[in-house]
Amino acid sequence: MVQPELLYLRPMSAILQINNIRKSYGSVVALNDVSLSVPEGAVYGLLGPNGSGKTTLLGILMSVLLPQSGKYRWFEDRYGDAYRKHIGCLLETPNFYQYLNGEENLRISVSISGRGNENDIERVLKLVGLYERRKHRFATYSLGMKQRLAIGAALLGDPEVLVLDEPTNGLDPVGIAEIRDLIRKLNQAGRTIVIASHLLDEVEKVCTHVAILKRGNLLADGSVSDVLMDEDILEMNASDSDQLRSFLHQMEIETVVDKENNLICARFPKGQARPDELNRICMENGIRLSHLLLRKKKLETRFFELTND
Amino acid sequence: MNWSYLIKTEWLKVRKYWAFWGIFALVLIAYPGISYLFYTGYQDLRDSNRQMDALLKFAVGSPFGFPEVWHTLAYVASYLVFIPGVLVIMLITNEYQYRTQRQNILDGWSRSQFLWAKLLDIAALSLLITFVYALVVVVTGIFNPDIALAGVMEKSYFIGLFALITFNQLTIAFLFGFLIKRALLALGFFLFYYLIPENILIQLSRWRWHTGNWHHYLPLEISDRLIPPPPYLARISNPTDYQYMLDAIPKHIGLSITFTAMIWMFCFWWLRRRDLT
Repeated sequence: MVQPELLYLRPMSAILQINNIRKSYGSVVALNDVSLSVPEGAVYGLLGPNGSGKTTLLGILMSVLLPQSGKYRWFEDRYGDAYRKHIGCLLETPNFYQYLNGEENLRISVSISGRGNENDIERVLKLVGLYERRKHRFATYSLGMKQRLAIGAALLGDPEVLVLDEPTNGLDPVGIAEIRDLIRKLNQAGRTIVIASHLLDEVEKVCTHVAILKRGNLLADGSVSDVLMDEDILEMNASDSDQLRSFLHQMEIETVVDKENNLICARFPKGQARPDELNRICMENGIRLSHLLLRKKKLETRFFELTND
Repeated sequence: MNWSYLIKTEWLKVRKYWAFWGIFALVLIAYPGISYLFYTGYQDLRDSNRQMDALLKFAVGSPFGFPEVWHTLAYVASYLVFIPGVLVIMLITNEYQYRTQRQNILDGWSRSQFLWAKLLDIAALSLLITFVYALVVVVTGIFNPDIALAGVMEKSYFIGLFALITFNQLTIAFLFGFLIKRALLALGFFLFYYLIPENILIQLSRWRWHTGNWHHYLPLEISDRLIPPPPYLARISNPTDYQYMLDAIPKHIGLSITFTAMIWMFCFWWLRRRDLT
Protein backbone atom coordinates (compact mmCIF):
# COMPACT_ATOMS: atom_id res chain seq x y z
CA MET A 1 0.00 0.00 0.00
CA VAL A 2 1.21 3.45 -0.87
CA GLN A 3 2.09 5.53 2.17
CA PRO A 4 -0.04 8.70 2.20
CA GLU A 5 2.99 11.01 2.43
CA LEU A 6 4.40 9.54 -0.77
CA LEU A 7 1.37 10.78 -2.64
CA TYR A 8 2.72 14.28 -2.28
CA LEU A 9 5.55 15.41 -4.47
CA ARG A 10 8.38 16.79 -2.39
CA PRO A 11 9.01 20.36 -3.53
CA MET A 12 12.43 20.81 -5.11
CA SER A 13 14.69 23.00 -3.00
CA ALA A 14 16.27 26.05 -4.64
CA ILE A 15 19.98 25.62 -5.22
CA LEU A 16 20.11 29.29 -6.14
CA GLN A 17 17.87 32.03 -4.88
CA ILE A 18 18.12 35.50 -6.36
CA ASN A 19 16.32 38.45 -4.80
CA ASN A 20 16.03 41.88 -6.39
CA ILE A 21 19.44 42.04 -7.99
CA ARG A 22 20.09 45.45 -9.45
CA LYS A 23 23.11 46.58 -11.42
CA SER A 24 23.66 49.67 -13.50
CA TYR A 25 26.53 51.16 -15.46
CA GLY A 26 26.04 54.90 -15.25
CA SER A 27 22.56 55.60 -16.56
CA VAL A 28 22.24 52.17 -18.19
CA VAL A 29 20.35 49.70 -16.05
CA ALA A 30 21.88 46.28 -16.73
CA LEU A 31 19.68 44.40 -14.27
CA ASN A 32 16.50 45.78 -12.83
CA ASP A 33 15.51 44.07 -9.58
CA VAL A 34 15.78 40.57 -10.96
CA SER A 35 14.49 37.80 -8.73
CA LEU A 36 14.33 34.14 -9.57
CA SER A 37 14.93 30.75 -8.18
CA VAL A 38 16.78 27.81 -9.69
CA PRO A 39 15.54 24.45 -8.43
CA GLU A 40 18.05 21.74 -7.61
CA GLY A 41 18.51 19.38 -10.54
CA ALA A 42 17.19 21.83 -13.14
CA VAL A 43 18.69 22.81 -16.44
CA TYR A 44 17.97 26.50 -16.23
CA GLY A 45 18.22 28.52 -19.42
CA LEU A 46 18.83 32.25 -19.28
CA LEU A 47 17.62 33.78 -22.51
CA GLY A 48 17.69 37.27 -23.84
CA PRO A 49 18.91 39.36 -26.73
CA ASN A 50 22.37 40.93 -26.66
CA GLY A 51 22.65 43.37 -23.79
CA SER A 52 19.76 41.86 -21.89
CA GLY A 53 21.90 41.28 -18.80
CA LYS A 54 22.47 37.50 -18.94
CA THR A 55 26.24 37.66 -18.57
CA THR A 56 26.01 40.46 -16.03
CA LEU A 57 23.70 38.32 -13.93
CA LEU A 58 26.02 35.32 -14.14
CA GLY A 59 29.00 37.58 -13.34
CA ILE A 60 27.25 38.77 -10.20
CA LEU A 61 26.28 35.24 -9.21
CA MET A 62 29.94 34.23 -9.54
CA SER A 63 31.22 37.25 -7.58
CA VAL A 64 33.22 38.85 -10.37
CA LEU A 65 30.73 41.70 -10.62
CA LEU A 66 29.21 43.53 -7.70
CA PRO A 67 25.48 44.32 -7.60
CA GLN A 68 24.20 47.73 -6.54
CA SER A 69 21.55 46.05 -4.46
CA GLY A 70 19.85 42.73 -3.95
CA LYS A 71 21.06 39.39 -2.71
CA TYR A 72 21.67 35.89 -3.92
CA ARG A 73 22.21 32.67 -2.13
CA TRP A 74 23.83 29.50 -3.46
CA PHE A 75 23.36 26.06 -1.90
CA GLU A 76 21.25 27.60 0.88
CA ASP A 77 24.52 29.08 2.22
CA ARG A 78 25.89 25.62 2.91
CA TYR A 79 29.39 26.53 1.72
CA GLY A 80 29.50 30.22 2.66
CA ASP A 81 31.96 32.26 0.59
CA ALA A 82 33.57 29.10 -0.78
CA TYR A 83 30.49 28.29 -2.87
CA ARG A 84 32.34 28.88 -6.15
CA LYS A 85 34.53 25.87 -5.47
CA HIS A 86 31.39 23.75 -5.93
CA ILE A 87 30.45 25.35 -9.24
CA GLY A 88 32.06 24.62 -12.58
CA CYS A 89 31.91 27.86 -14.51
CA LEU A 90 32.51 29.10 -18.01
CA LEU A 91 31.82 32.82 -18.17
CA GLU A 92 32.16 34.66 -21.48
CA THR A 93 35.54 33.85 -23.01
CA PRO A 94 37.86 31.02 -21.95
CA ASN A 95 40.53 32.58 -19.70
CA PHE A 96 43.77 30.65 -19.41
CA TYR A 97 47.51 31.28 -19.22
CA GLN A 98 48.63 31.55 -22.83
CA TYR A 99 52.14 30.24 -22.20
CA LEU A 100 50.95 27.04 -20.49
CA ASN A 101 49.50 23.99 -22.20
CA GLY A 102 45.98 22.67 -21.71
CA GLU A 103 46.96 20.18 -19.05
CA GLU A 104 48.98 22.72 -17.04
CA ASN A 105 46.12 25.19 -17.15
CA LEU A 106 43.71 22.59 -15.80
CA ARG A 107 46.20 21.82 -13.04
CA ILE A 108 45.89 25.45 -11.90
CA SER A 109 42.09 25.17 -11.93
CA VAL A 110 42.34 22.02 -9.79
CA SER A 111 44.75 23.72 -7.41
CA ILE A 112 42.47 26.72 -6.89
CA SER A 113 39.11 24.99 -6.79
CA GLY A 114 40.20 21.85 -5.01
CA ARG A 115 37.98 19.97 -7.46
CA GLY A 116 39.49 17.02 -9.29
CA ASN A 117 42.95 15.49 -9.46
CA GLU A 118 45.44 14.26 -12.08
CA ASN A 119 43.12 11.43 -13.16
CA ASP A 120 40.28 13.84 -13.47
CA ILE A 121 42.35 16.15 -15.69
CA GLU A 122 42.93 13.22 -18.04
CA ARG A 123 39.22 12.31 -17.92
CA VAL A 124 37.96 15.78 -18.84
CA LEU A 125 40.60 16.25 -21.53
CA LYS A 126 39.35 13.05 -23.16
CA LEU A 127 35.74 14.06 -22.64
CA VAL A 128 36.18 17.37 -24.46
CA GLY A 129 38.39 15.86 -27.14
CA LEU A 130 41.61 17.65 -26.23
CA TYR A 131 43.66 14.78 -24.87
CA GLU A 132 45.86 14.60 -27.95
CA ARG A 133 46.53 18.34 -27.76
CA ARG A 134 47.00 18.47 -24.01
CA LYS A 135 50.74 19.26 -24.30
CA HIS A 136 50.21 22.12 -26.74
CA ARG A 137 50.32 25.70 -25.54
CA PHE A 138 46.92 27.31 -24.99
CA ALA A 139 47.95 30.18 -27.29
CA THR A 140 48.04 27.73 -30.21
CA TYR A 141 44.45 26.48 -29.69
CA SER A 142 41.62 27.42 -32.05
CA LEU A 143 38.57 29.21 -30.62
CA GLY A 144 36.66 25.92 -30.50
CA MET A 145 39.50 24.18 -28.67
CA LYS A 146 39.74 27.03 -26.16
CA GLN A 147 36.03 26.70 -25.56
CA ARG A 148 36.39 22.95 -25.09
CA LEU A 149 39.17 23.45 -22.58
CA ALA A 150 37.02 25.92 -20.64
CA ILE A 151 34.17 23.40 -20.59
CA GLY A 152 36.67 20.76 -19.45
CA ALA A 153 37.82 23.05 -16.63
CA ALA A 154 34.21 23.55 -15.57
CA LEU A 155 33.69 19.78 -15.45
CA LEU A 156 36.70 19.09 -13.22
CA GLY A 157 35.78 17.23 -10.08
CA ASP A 158 32.20 16.69 -11.23
CA PRO A 159 30.79 19.82 -9.54
CA GLU A 160 27.26 19.99 -8.16
CA VAL A 161 26.41 22.95 -10.36
CA LEU A 162 27.56 24.13 -13.77
CA VAL A 163 27.24 27.74 -14.89
CA LEU A 164 27.77 27.98 -18.61
CA ASP A 165 27.65 31.22 -20.52
CA GLU A 166 27.25 30.57 -24.25
CA PRO A 167 28.98 27.18 -23.98
CA THR A 168 28.60 26.42 -27.68
CA ASN A 169 30.42 29.58 -28.84
CA GLY A 170 32.98 28.70 -31.45
CA LEU A 171 31.95 25.04 -31.66
CA ASP A 172 31.05 23.30 -34.89
CA PRO A 173 27.67 21.51 -35.25
CA VAL A 174 29.15 18.24 -33.98
CA GLY A 175 30.61 20.06 -30.97
CA ILE A 176 27.27 21.73 -30.28
CA ALA A 177 25.50 18.37 -30.35
CA GLU A 178 28.15 16.89 -28.05
CA ILE A 179 27.67 19.69 -25.52
CA ARG A 180 23.91 19.20 -25.70
CA ASP A 181 24.31 15.49 -24.97
CA LEU A 182 26.77 16.22 -22.20
CA ILE A 183 24.35 18.64 -20.54
CA ARG A 184 21.59 16.04 -20.73
CA LYS A 185 23.80 13.36 -19.21
CA LEU A 186 24.98 15.65 -16.42
CA ASN A 187 21.41 16.62 -15.68
CA GLN A 188 20.37 12.98 -15.61
CA ALA A 189 23.15 12.43 -13.10
CA GLY A 190 21.51 15.03 -10.88
CA ARG A 191 23.63 18.05 -11.65
CA THR A 192 22.09 21.50 -11.80
CA ILE A 193 23.02 23.53 -14.86
CA VAL A 194 22.51 27.23 -15.43
CA ILE A 195 23.05 28.05 -19.07
CA ALA A 196 22.91 31.36 -20.93
CA SER A 197 22.56 31.04 -24.66
CA HIS A 198 21.39 32.67 -27.84
CA LEU A 199 20.61 29.33 -29.40
CA LEU A 200 16.94 28.96 -28.60
CA ASP A 201 16.64 25.58 -30.27
CA GLU A 202 19.46 24.24 -28.14
CA VAL A 203 17.98 25.65 -24.97
CA GLU A 204 14.57 24.25 -25.80
CA LYS A 205 16.09 20.82 -26.32
CA VAL A 206 17.86 20.65 -22.98
CA CYS A 207 16.30 23.08 -20.50
CA THR A 208 13.73 22.25 -17.88
CA HIS A 209 13.36 25.87 -16.81
CA VAL A 210 13.92 29.22 -18.49
CA ALA A 211 14.10 32.89 -17.64
CA ILE A 212 13.77 35.50 -20.35
CA LEU A 213 15.53 38.80 -19.85
CA LYS A 214 15.33 41.98 -21.84
CA ARG A 215 17.28 45.16 -21.09
CA GLY A 216 17.78 43.97 -17.54
CA ASN A 217 14.15 43.17 -16.89
CA LEU A 218 12.94 39.67 -16.19
CA LEU A 219 10.03 39.09 -18.56
CA ALA A 220 9.19 35.51 -17.68
CA ASP A 221 10.58 32.63 -15.70
CA GLY A 222 9.58 29.17 -14.62
CA SER A 223 9.40 25.71 -16.08
CA VAL A 224 9.68 25.57 -19.85
CA SER A 225 6.08 24.46 -20.24
CA ASP A 226 4.86 27.27 -18.00
CA VAL A 227 6.75 29.92 -19.91
CA LEU A 228 5.92 28.58 -23.37
CA MET A 229 2.30 27.77 -22.82
CA ASP A 230 0.89 31.18 -22.13
CA GLU A 231 -2.24 30.14 -24.00
CA ASP A 232 -3.69 26.98 -25.54
CA ILE A 233 -3.88 26.74 -29.30
CA LEU A 234 -5.87 24.06 -31.02
CA GLU A 235 -4.94 23.41 -34.62
CA MET A 236 -8.03 22.33 -36.52
CA ASN A 237 -9.27 21.62 -40.00
CA ALA A 238 -12.37 20.20 -41.62
CA SER A 239 -13.55 19.37 -45.12
CA ASP A 240 -15.44 22.67 -45.07
CA SER A 241 -13.09 25.02 -43.33
CA ASP A 242 -15.36 28.08 -43.83
CA GLN A 243 -18.14 26.28 -42.03
CA LEU A 244 -15.78 25.36 -39.20
CA ARG A 245 -14.54 28.92 -38.88
CA SER A 246 -18.01 30.43 -38.81
CA PHE A 247 -19.10 27.81 -36.25
CA LEU A 248 -16.16 28.68 -33.99
CA HIS A 249 -17.00 32.35 -34.45
CA GLN A 250 -20.58 31.67 -33.35
CA MET A 251 -19.18 29.97 -30.26
CA GLU A 252 -17.10 33.15 -29.62
CA ILE A 253 -13.82 31.25 -29.94
CA GLU A 254 -11.01 33.41 -31.27
CA THR A 255 -9.42 31.97 -34.40
CA VAL A 256 -6.40 32.66 -36.57
CA VAL A 257 -5.81 31.17 -39.99
CA ASP A 258 -2.43 29.50 -40.52
CA LYS A 259 -2.31 29.97 -44.27
CA GLU A 260 1.02 28.24 -44.65
CA ASN A 261 -0.30 24.96 -43.27
CA ASN A 262 -3.91 25.56 -44.23
CA LEU A 263 -5.08 25.28 -40.63
CA ILE A 264 -7.45 27.12 -38.36
CA CYS A 265 -5.97 27.88 -34.97
CA ALA A 266 -8.39 28.32 -32.10
CA ARG A 267 -7.01 30.21 -29.09
CA PHE A 268 -8.06 29.54 -25.53
CA PRO A 269 -6.87 30.84 -22.21
CA LYS A 270 -4.05 28.71 -20.80
CA GLY A 271 -5.27 25.32 -19.62
CA GLN A 272 -8.83 25.75 -20.91
CA ALA A 273 -8.75 24.03 -24.30
CA ARG A 274 -10.72 20.75 -24.36
CA PRO A 275 -9.98 19.02 -27.67
CA ASP A 276 -12.27 16.06 -27.00
CA GLU A 277 -15.15 18.30 -25.99
CA LEU A 278 -14.71 20.52 -29.04
CA ASN A 279 -14.58 17.50 -31.31
CA ARG A 280 -17.83 16.21 -29.83
CA ILE A 281 -19.61 19.56 -30.28
CA CYS A 282 -18.40 19.83 -33.87
CA MET A 283 -19.65 16.33 -34.62
CA GLU A 284 -23.02 17.19 -33.09
CA ASN A 285 -23.17 20.19 -35.41
CA GLY A 286 -22.32 18.20 -38.50
CA ILE A 287 -18.72 19.27 -38.76
CA ARG A 288 -16.27 16.42 -39.22
CA LEU A 289 -12.77 17.45 -38.18
CA SER A 290 -9.92 16.20 -40.32
CA HIS A 291 -7.22 17.58 -38.01
CA LEU A 292 -7.19 18.41 -34.31
CA LEU A 293 -4.03 19.02 -32.34
CA LEU A 294 -3.05 20.93 -29.20
CA ARG A 295 -0.13 22.97 -30.47
CA LYS A 296 2.94 23.53 -28.35
CA LYS A 297 4.42 26.94 -28.92
CA LYS A 298 8.04 27.00 -30.01
CA LEU A 299 10.41 28.68 -27.57
CA GLU A 300 11.57 30.88 -30.39
CA THR A 301 8.03 32.14 -30.99
CA ARG A 302 7.49 32.82 -27.32
CA PHE A 303 10.88 34.50 -27.06
CA PHE A 304 10.09 36.89 -29.86
CA GLU A 305 6.62 37.56 -28.50
CA LEU A 306 8.12 38.56 -25.20
CA THR A 307 11.15 40.43 -26.40
CA ASN A 308 9.74 42.33 -29.37
CA ASP A 309 8.63 45.85 -28.54
CA MET B 1 44.67 31.43 5.29
CA ASN B 2 46.38 28.41 3.76
CA TRP B 3 49.67 29.88 2.55
CA SER B 4 51.07 26.70 1.03
CA TYR B 5 47.97 26.34 -1.14
CA LEU B 6 48.44 29.86 -2.48
CA ILE B 7 52.18 29.40 -3.00
CA LYS B 8 51.66 26.08 -4.80
CA THR B 9 49.17 27.66 -7.22
CA GLU B 10 51.44 30.61 -7.91
CA TRP B 11 54.29 28.21 -8.54
CA LEU B 12 52.15 26.35 -11.10
CA LYS B 13 51.58 29.68 -12.85
CA VAL B 14 55.25 30.66 -13.16
CA ARG B 15 56.92 27.26 -13.34
CA LYS B 16 56.91 27.20 -17.13
CA TYR B 17 56.75 30.91 -17.78
CA TRP B 18 60.01 31.28 -19.69
CA ALA B 19 59.83 35.07 -20.11
CA PHE B 20 59.64 35.31 -16.32
CA TRP B 21 62.65 33.04 -15.82
CA GLY B 22 64.58 34.93 -18.51
CA ILE B 23 64.23 38.19 -16.60
CA PHE B 24 64.83 36.35 -13.34
CA ALA B 25 68.14 35.16 -14.78
CA LEU B 26 68.96 38.79 -15.56
CA VAL B 27 68.25 39.62 -11.92
CA LEU B 28 70.57 36.84 -10.80
CA ILE B 29 73.30 38.11 -13.08
CA ALA B 30 72.75 41.80 -12.35
CA TYR B 31 73.38 41.66 -8.59
CA PRO B 32 76.74 39.89 -8.66
CA GLY B 33 77.55 41.73 -11.91
CA ILE B 34 77.22 45.24 -10.53
CA SER B 35 79.04 44.21 -7.35
CA TYR B 36 81.88 42.78 -9.40
CA LEU B 37 82.01 45.94 -11.50
CA PHE B 38 82.41 48.16 -8.46
CA TYR B 39 84.81 45.75 -6.81
CA THR B 40 87.13 45.48 -9.81
CA GLY B 41 86.94 49.24 -10.41
CA TYR B 42 88.04 49.83 -6.85
CA GLN B 43 90.80 47.21 -7.03
CA ASP B 44 92.08 48.56 -10.36
CA LEU B 45 92.27 52.01 -8.83
CA ARG B 46 94.19 50.67 -5.87
CA ASP B 47 96.50 48.65 -8.07
CA SER B 48 97.25 51.61 -10.35
CA ASN B 49 100.01 52.91 -8.06
CA ARG B 50 101.17 52.65 -4.53
CA GLN B 51 100.23 56.23 -3.61
CA MET B 52 96.66 55.73 -4.75
CA ASP B 53 96.50 52.49 -2.79
CA ALA B 54 97.61 54.24 0.35
CA LEU B 55 95.27 57.18 -0.28
CA LEU B 56 92.26 54.94 -0.85
CA LYS B 57 93.06 52.86 2.19
CA PHE B 58 93.20 56.03 4.26
CA ALA B 59 90.14 57.72 2.78
CA VAL B 60 87.87 54.80 2.02
CA GLY B 61 89.03 52.00 4.27
CA SER B 62 88.10 48.55 3.08
CA PRO B 63 84.66 48.83 1.47
CA PHE B 64 84.72 45.28 0.10
CA GLY B 65 86.08 43.68 3.24
CA PHE B 66 84.04 42.58 6.22
CA PRO B 67 82.11 44.11 7.80
CA GLU B 68 81.85 47.15 5.49
CA VAL B 69 81.02 44.98 2.46
CA TRP B 70 77.50 44.38 3.87
CA HIS B 71 76.85 48.10 3.65
CA THR B 72 78.67 48.73 0.37
CA LEU B 73 76.88 46.04 -1.60
CA ALA B 74 73.49 46.70 -0.01
CA TYR B 75 73.82 50.31 -1.18
CA VAL B 76 74.94 49.33 -4.69
CA ALA B 77 72.33 46.58 -5.07
CA SER B 78 69.50 48.80 -3.83
CA TYR B 79 69.77 50.68 -7.13
CA LEU B 80 68.75 47.54 -9.03
CA VAL B 81 65.30 46.96 -7.54
CA PHE B 82 63.73 48.16 -10.78
CA ILE B 83 64.85 44.92 -12.51
CA PRO B 84 62.80 42.56 -10.31
CA GLY B 85 60.20 45.34 -10.42
CA VAL B 86 59.75 44.40 -14.09
CA LEU B 87 59.03 40.82 -13.00
CA VAL B 88 56.45 41.93 -10.48
CA ILE B 89 54.68 44.09 -13.06
CA MET B 90 54.68 41.16 -15.51
CA LEU B 91 53.14 38.88 -12.89
CA ILE B 92 50.20 41.13 -12.15
CA THR B 93 49.52 42.60 -15.60
CA ASN B 94 49.52 39.11 -17.13
CA GLU B 95 46.60 38.24 -14.91
CA TYR B 96 44.69 41.18 -16.35
CA GLN B 97 45.83 40.62 -19.92
CA TYR B 98 44.74 36.97 -19.97
CA ARG B 99 41.76 37.70 -17.66
CA THR B 100 43.04 34.91 -15.43
CA GLN B 101 42.55 37.06 -12.36
CA ARG B 102 38.83 36.81 -13.08
CA GLN B 103 39.16 33.08 -13.78
CA ASN B 104 40.99 32.54 -10.47
CA ILE B 105 37.99 34.07 -8.71
CA LEU B 106 35.55 31.99 -10.79
CA ASP B 107 37.52 28.89 -9.86
CA GLY B 108 37.06 29.62 -6.20
CA TRP B 109 39.60 32.07 -4.83
CA SER B 110 38.31 35.08 -2.98
CA ARG B 111 39.62 38.47 -4.07
CA SER B 112 41.68 38.59 -0.89
CA GLN B 113 43.23 35.22 -1.65
CA PHE B 114 44.22 36.46 -5.08
CA LEU B 115 46.01 39.44 -3.53
CA TRP B 116 47.59 37.38 -0.76
CA ALA B 117 49.00 35.13 -3.46
CA LYS B 118 50.58 38.13 -5.16
CA LEU B 119 51.88 39.44 -1.86
CA LEU B 120 53.51 36.08 -1.27
CA ASP B 121 55.06 36.21 -4.77
CA ILE B 122 56.64 39.54 -3.92
CA ALA B 123 57.76 38.37 -0.49
CA ALA B 124 59.34 35.26 -2.04
CA LEU B 125 61.05 37.33 -4.74
CA SER B 126 62.35 39.77 -2.12
CA LEU B 127 63.75 36.89 -0.06
CA LEU B 128 65.40 35.32 -3.10
CA ILE B 129 67.02 38.61 -4.08
CA THR B 130 68.12 39.17 -0.50
CA PHE B 131 69.64 35.71 -0.53
CA VAL B 132 71.52 36.55 -3.74
CA TYR B 133 72.74 39.80 -2.15
CA ALA B 134 73.93 37.96 0.96
CA LEU B 135 75.68 35.35 -1.15
CA VAL B 136 77.44 38.02 -3.21
CA VAL B 137 78.51 39.79 0.00
CA VAL B 138 79.94 36.60 1.48
CA VAL B 139 81.79 35.68 -1.71
CA THR B 140 83.14 39.25 -2.18
CA GLY B 141 84.13 39.49 1.48
CA ILE B 142 85.97 36.19 1.42
CA PHE B 143 87.82 36.76 -1.85
CA ASN B 144 88.75 40.32 -1.00
CA PRO B 145 92.50 40.68 -0.30
CA ASP B 146 91.75 42.73 2.85
CA ILE B 147 89.94 39.78 4.35
CA ALA B 148 89.47 40.07 8.07
CA LEU B 149 87.13 37.57 9.60
CA ALA B 150 86.80 39.51 12.80
CA GLY B 151 83.47 41.30 12.73
CA VAL B 152 82.23 39.36 9.72
CA MET B 153 78.64 39.65 10.89
CA GLU B 154 78.99 43.08 12.44
CA LYS B 155 76.96 44.86 9.79
CA SER B 156 74.87 41.90 8.69
CA TYR B 157 71.77 43.80 9.79
CA PHE B 158 71.94 45.21 6.28
CA ILE B 159 70.38 41.88 5.18
CA GLY B 160 67.17 42.89 6.92
CA LEU B 161 67.34 46.45 5.63
CA PHE B 162 67.98 45.22 2.11
CA ALA B 163 65.04 42.80 2.31
CA LEU B 164 62.79 45.60 3.50
CA ILE B 165 63.85 48.09 0.82
CA THR B 166 63.35 45.39 -1.83
CA PHE B 167 59.92 44.37 -0.56
CA ASN B 168 58.86 47.99 -0.24
CA GLN B 169 59.93 49.01 -3.73
CA LEU B 170 58.59 45.83 -5.35
CA THR B 171 55.29 46.61 -3.67
CA ILE B 172 55.37 50.03 -5.35
CA ALA B 173 56.06 48.29 -8.68
CA PHE B 174 53.08 46.02 -7.97
CA LEU B 175 50.89 49.03 -7.34
CA PHE B 176 51.75 50.42 -10.76
CA GLY B 177 50.80 47.11 -12.44
CA PHE B 178 47.73 46.68 -10.25
CA LEU B 179 46.26 50.07 -11.09
CA ILE B 180 47.43 50.55 -14.68
CA LYS B 181 46.77 46.92 -15.72
CA ARG B 182 48.56 47.16 -19.07
CA ALA B 183 52.06 45.75 -19.01
CA LEU B 184 53.88 48.25 -21.19
CA LEU B 185 52.19 51.31 -19.73
CA ALA B 186 52.76 50.11 -16.18
CA LEU B 187 56.41 49.32 -16.91
CA GLY B 188 56.91 52.67 -18.58
CA PHE B 189 55.34 54.65 -15.73
CA PHE B 190 57.17 52.65 -13.07
CA LEU B 191 60.59 52.98 -14.67
CA PHE B 192 59.99 56.65 -15.41
CA TYR B 193 58.97 57.33 -11.82
CA TYR B 194 61.78 55.16 -10.45
CA LEU B 195 64.45 56.97 -12.44
CA ILE B 196 63.31 60.54 -12.96
CA PRO B 197 60.63 62.58 -11.15
CA GLU B 198 61.38 61.55 -7.58
CA ASN B 199 65.12 61.99 -8.05
CA ILE B 200 64.60 65.42 -9.57
CA LEU B 201 62.30 66.47 -6.73
CA ILE B 202 64.81 65.29 -4.14
CA GLN B 203 67.68 67.15 -5.74
CA LEU B 204 65.63 70.33 -6.20
CA SER B 205 64.42 70.18 -2.62
CA ARG B 206 67.92 69.59 -1.26
CA TRP B 207 70.00 71.92 -3.34
CA ARG B 208 67.75 74.60 -4.77
CA TRP B 209 64.49 75.05 -2.92
CA HIS B 210 65.81 74.33 0.58
CA THR B 211 62.28 73.51 1.63
CA GLY B 212 62.90 71.21 4.57
CA ASN B 213 62.77 67.44 4.73
CA TRP B 214 59.53 66.64 2.97
CA HIS B 215 61.44 64.84 0.23
CA HIS B 216 62.48 62.20 2.80
CA TYR B 217 58.91 60.97 2.69
CA LEU B 218 58.52 60.47 -1.05
CA PRO B 219 57.42 56.90 -1.91
CA LEU B 220 60.80 55.49 -2.91
CA GLU B 221 62.88 57.78 -0.70
CA ILE B 222 61.12 56.48 2.41
CA SER B 223 62.85 53.14 1.94
CA ASP B 224 65.94 54.44 0.08
CA ARG B 225 66.90 56.05 3.39
CA LEU B 226 67.10 52.61 5.00
CA ILE B 227 70.49 52.19 3.33
CA PRO B 228 72.40 55.46 3.33
CA PRO B 229 75.58 55.74 1.30
CA PRO B 230 78.55 53.97 2.91
CA PRO B 231 80.59 56.21 5.25
CA TYR B 232 83.46 56.72 2.81
CA LEU B 233 81.04 58.14 0.23
CA ALA B 234 79.32 60.21 2.87
CA ARG B 235 82.57 61.97 3.74
CA ILE B 236 82.10 63.89 0.54
CA SER B 237 78.88 65.37 1.88
CA ASN B 238 78.09 67.17 5.11
CA PRO B 239 78.96 64.96 8.15
CA THR B 240 76.04 66.39 10.13
CA ASP B 241 73.65 65.39 7.37
CA TYR B 242 75.15 61.93 7.29
CA GLN B 243 74.75 61.43 11.03
CA TYR B 244 71.16 62.58 10.66
CA MET B 245 70.65 59.90 7.97
CA LEU B 246 72.08 57.19 10.19
CA ASP B 247 69.98 58.27 13.15
CA ALA B 248 66.87 58.30 11.01
CA ILE B 249 67.20 54.65 9.91
CA PRO B 250 64.97 53.26 12.72
CA LYS B 251 62.35 55.87 11.87
CA HIS B 252 62.49 54.89 8.21
CA ILE B 253 62.14 51.21 9.10
CA GLY B 254 58.84 52.08 10.75
CA LEU B 255 57.83 54.37 7.90
CA SER B 256 58.68 51.77 5.25
CA ILE B 257 56.70 49.04 6.99
CA THR B 258 53.76 51.40 7.48
CA PHE B 259 53.88 52.66 3.91
CA THR B 260 54.11 49.13 2.47
CA ALA B 261 51.25 47.98 4.68
CA MET B 262 49.19 50.98 3.54
CA ILE B 263 49.76 50.12 -0.12
CA TRP B 264 48.60 46.56 0.43
CA MET B 265 45.62 47.65 2.47
CA PHE B 266 44.69 50.01 -0.32
CA CYS B 267 44.97 47.17 -2.89
CA PHE B 268 42.73 44.89 -0.79
CA TRP B 269 40.23 47.69 -0.32
CA TRP B 270 40.30 48.61 -4.01
CA LEU B 271 39.86 45.07 -5.28
CA ARG B 272 36.95 44.38 -2.93
CA ARG B 273 35.06 47.25 -4.49
CA ARG B 274 35.77 46.70 -8.17
CA ASP B 275 34.07 44.70 -10.86
CA LEU B 276 36.50 42.21 -12.38
CA THR B 277 36.06 42.79 -16.08
